[in-house]
Formats: sequence, structure tokens, C-alpha cells
Amino acid sequence: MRYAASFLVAPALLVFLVFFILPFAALASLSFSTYVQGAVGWKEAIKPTLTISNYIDFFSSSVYWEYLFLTLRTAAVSTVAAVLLGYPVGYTIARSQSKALKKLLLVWVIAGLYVSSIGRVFSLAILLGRNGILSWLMSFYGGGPLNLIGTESAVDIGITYFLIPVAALSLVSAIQKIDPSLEDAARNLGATGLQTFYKVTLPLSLPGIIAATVLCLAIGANFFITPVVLGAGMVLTLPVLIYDRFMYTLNYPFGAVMSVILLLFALVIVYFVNKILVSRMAIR
Amino acid sequence: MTLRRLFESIGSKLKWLAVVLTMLFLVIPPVLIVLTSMEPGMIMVFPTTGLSLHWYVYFINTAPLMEALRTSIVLASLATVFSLLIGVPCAYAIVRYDFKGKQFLSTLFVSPLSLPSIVFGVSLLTYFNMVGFYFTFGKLLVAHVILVIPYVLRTTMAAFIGLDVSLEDAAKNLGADEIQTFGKITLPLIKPGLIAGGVFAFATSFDDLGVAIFLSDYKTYTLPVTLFAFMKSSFSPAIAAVSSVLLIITFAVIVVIEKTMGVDKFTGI
Repeated sequence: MRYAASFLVAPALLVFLVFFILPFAALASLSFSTYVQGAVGWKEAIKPTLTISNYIDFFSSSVYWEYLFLTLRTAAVSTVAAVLLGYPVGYTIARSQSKALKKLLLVWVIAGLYVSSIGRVFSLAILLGRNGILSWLMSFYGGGPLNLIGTESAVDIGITYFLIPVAALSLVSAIQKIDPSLEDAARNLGATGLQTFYKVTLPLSLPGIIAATVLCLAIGANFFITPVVLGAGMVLTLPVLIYDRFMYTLNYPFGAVMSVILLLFALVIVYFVNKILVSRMAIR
Repeated sequence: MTLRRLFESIGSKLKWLAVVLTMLFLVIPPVLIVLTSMEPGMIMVFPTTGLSLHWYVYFINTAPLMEALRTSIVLASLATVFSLLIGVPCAYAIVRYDFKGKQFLSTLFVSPLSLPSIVFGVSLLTYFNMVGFYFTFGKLLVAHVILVIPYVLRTTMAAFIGLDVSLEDAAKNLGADEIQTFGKITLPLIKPGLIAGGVFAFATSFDDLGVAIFLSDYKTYTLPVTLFAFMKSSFSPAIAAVSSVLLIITFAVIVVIEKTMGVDKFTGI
């Protein structure tokens, strides 16, 4: 039996070993290499060494601390907005009496997760740009052309847009896990709908809210197309800088340093989420 | 008492207002872009100066765009097939057998979902440069197989868990061998899961930019990579037309899933 299992798992494991784990090791080794300034080509630009000077360069520069802070700030602002807007949606999907409404909202939210992201980033650019709908609406109230493209707010709005479905969906399952009889009991004891929500549902969904927040933070820090298109080169988050270092500046080792930092952040968050989910299961 | 009732009604109305506004916020941009794609002029404006399919015709007549669409379709199809081929046996083993390292493996195989795709992209770029592998389409294919395996694994694992083992046992008791049982009982029962996984895999590969942007070259530009290059250089309604095509194809995918197995299975991210 055990041989059968290893036989079935082997192809996937091999692919992941060769094309997933080894590449990350290669990236880590690149971050300890030395960049040869002015050299053209991959082999010439990288001197294989074992130095932490790239990391020292990153952490000793106030500019890069600012970029790191900017990355975390856009992720955090968008996460708060997405969880606030996603909660009522998730709550409605989890608790609504109408099956049709549940289904409609669910399909709507899942479409928000899987429908072409690059197409929608571009649609947001149209929404927020100089010739966009927001600008058009402003003109009725005597406002001049409004162009949010290139501002941090535009990036916040964009990341929020993509995080709302993530937040809403992870809250649906958290709220569904709350025993409805607890809410019924509160109502039977004379609590109003609002009181039941604040005293029973909200506290019980707190672990779900924390999990959704952490998940959104992890995803929000990795957005790449959104800050590039909506930030128009003015909002330099770490993913934007990584792209620049690998495609234009060609300082590969420094790009690798930023990638490793972003990766570690994601790993810490994923570990944290798993811990929360596991401990939540242990309580049940 | 009346004050309390007032609060109650305000609270419930606020909840509905939040739901309606949020849902509108989600749907307005895609609708908007389909509308702007019908702009007959050279510059994107809102409201549009007219309605035409001019830019869709332009899309069809522009060789690089059609070439990119072809590359994307071929790549997404192959990535889907390969991910099913290695993902389904894996899902079966994880659901049905108990073995050492099972927890670790299932975490590893779904981790591409939560790790930054751009970091995966640059790590593959680094790796392929180090080992000297220059077959671009091959690079894209292995990258996308890994990228979409989590979706295949999740849906087929759910299908295997939902499958009643006694049905397979019954077939075997009635004299069917392993292969017959798999072909006549197991496969038809997990088919909705396979379709859903495959369709999600296709959609994910079809939309990927974070990885493809580092691995593709001028012969293998995918549609998102081409679109991204266009976006940086111009604000032509052609981009809106291409985006609309991407939106419509991926939206069709959601509809297919809903019809085959229902979207409810995907509530727990």
C-alpha cells in the first residue's frame, strides 16, 4: 500500500523538487552573489560569492525602508477596507434565508476572484484616470478633470478591489461555522437583531476576521500589476522594484534580496494562518 | 423603545447598503471596460463617442495579438492536461493512503497559491539561467503546471473525499478488476471535480502575468504579457477590446463551473 502511494505521488514530487524548490534555492544563492556594475549579460553581471552585503545595502538604506514601509502600508490599508466591505457580503452569503440571493452573491464574489485580473486592473485604470468615469462625474459638479493614476490612493483602491472577494469568501466559511442556535438563543432571551450581532455573532467570528485579515495582508503585499498600472511608476512597492531590477536595471542580486524578503514575509504569514486555523480546529 | 427600533432598522439598512455598494464596486469596472471597448475613436474616453466593434476587428487583424492569443490557449491547454495527469494520482494517494510526510506534501503542493507569483517568476528565471535551459515554451509550461496544480489538487481531493468507497468495493465484489472499477465507477463519479479543476487550471494559466513576464520571449509572448506591454505604451481602446476578450473567456469559465459542480465548493479559500 505504501509503495502504491509513493508511486502515485512521485511525478508531482519530482516536478516540485526540480522546478519549485531548487529555483527558490537558486534565488537565495543569487541574493548572496556580487553584482558587477556595468556588465552586460547574465553571466558577466553576477559574481558567485557568499556575501551578505546586498542585505546590508538594503537594510542600511532609508529609501528602501521607505519602499518596504510603503508596501506594507498599501497592503494594510487595503486589507482593512477589504475586510470591512467583505464582512457584510460574507455575512449575507452565510446567513441569508434566500437560497437564490446566496447563490447570486457567491457567483458574483467568485467571479471577482477568477475573472481576468489584468483586464480588470486596466478597467480600474479607466475608472480612475483623467478620461474616466470618476472624472466625468466630477465635471457635473464643476470639478476639474480628476486623475488619481500615479497616486498611492489609486493603488489602495485597486488592491482593495481584488482583496474584497478574498476577505468575503474566507469570512463566509468562518461565519457558517458559528452555531446558529447560539444566535437563536440570544434572540429568544430578548436580544434584538443588532444586540445579537454585537454580543454573539461578531465576537464568535473574530477568529475568522483575524484569519481573513492575515490572508489579505499576505496577498496584498504581493500585488504587482495593480501598483505598476495604477501607480504608473510613482508608487514603488517591492514587487514593482523586483520587476525593475530583473527587467531594466539588471541588478539581479539586489532584486533577489527583495524577492527573498517578500517571500519570507509571505511564509511567516502562511505559517501564522495555519497556526490560527489549526488552533481553531483544536477548540472545536 | 422606539429609539431602539430606529437603531435596529438603521443597522439592517446599513448592512444592505454596504452589500449593494460593495457588489456594485466589484461589477462596475468590468462592465465599463466592455463599454469603452466599443469606442470608435482612437482614444479611450468615457462616455464613448459611439458604439462600434472596430477594435475587435483590429484585434483579429493584428498578427502579434492573435499570435499571443494562440500561445496563451496552447499553453493553458497543455498546462491543464499535465497538471491533471500528475495531480489526480497525487490527490488520490493523499486522500486514500496514510503515509509519512503526507501533511508536508499536501502543504507543498498547494503552496504556489499563497506564495508571491512574481517571486516564483524571478526564481525560475534565475534557475533556468544558471542551468542553461533556453527552451522558452518549456519554461513557461513547467512554471504553469506548478502554478495550477493547487486548483487541480483541491477540486479532485474534494471529489475523492465525497466518493463513497463502498461503491468501488461493490464493483470489486461483483468481479470487476482494479482498472474496470476505476474506469466504470471511480472516474465517472469524480468527473465533475476533474472538470472544475481543469477549468480553474485553464483560467489561472490563461490569466498569469507574474510568472510569464519573466520567462517568455518575443516568440512566446502570452496574451497578458502582450497586453501589459501595450498598457505601458498607449491608452488605445484596443487594450479595452483585448481585456474584454480576456474577461469574457474567464467569466465563461465561472459559468461552466457553476453548471458542472456548483461554485459552493469553493467557499473555503
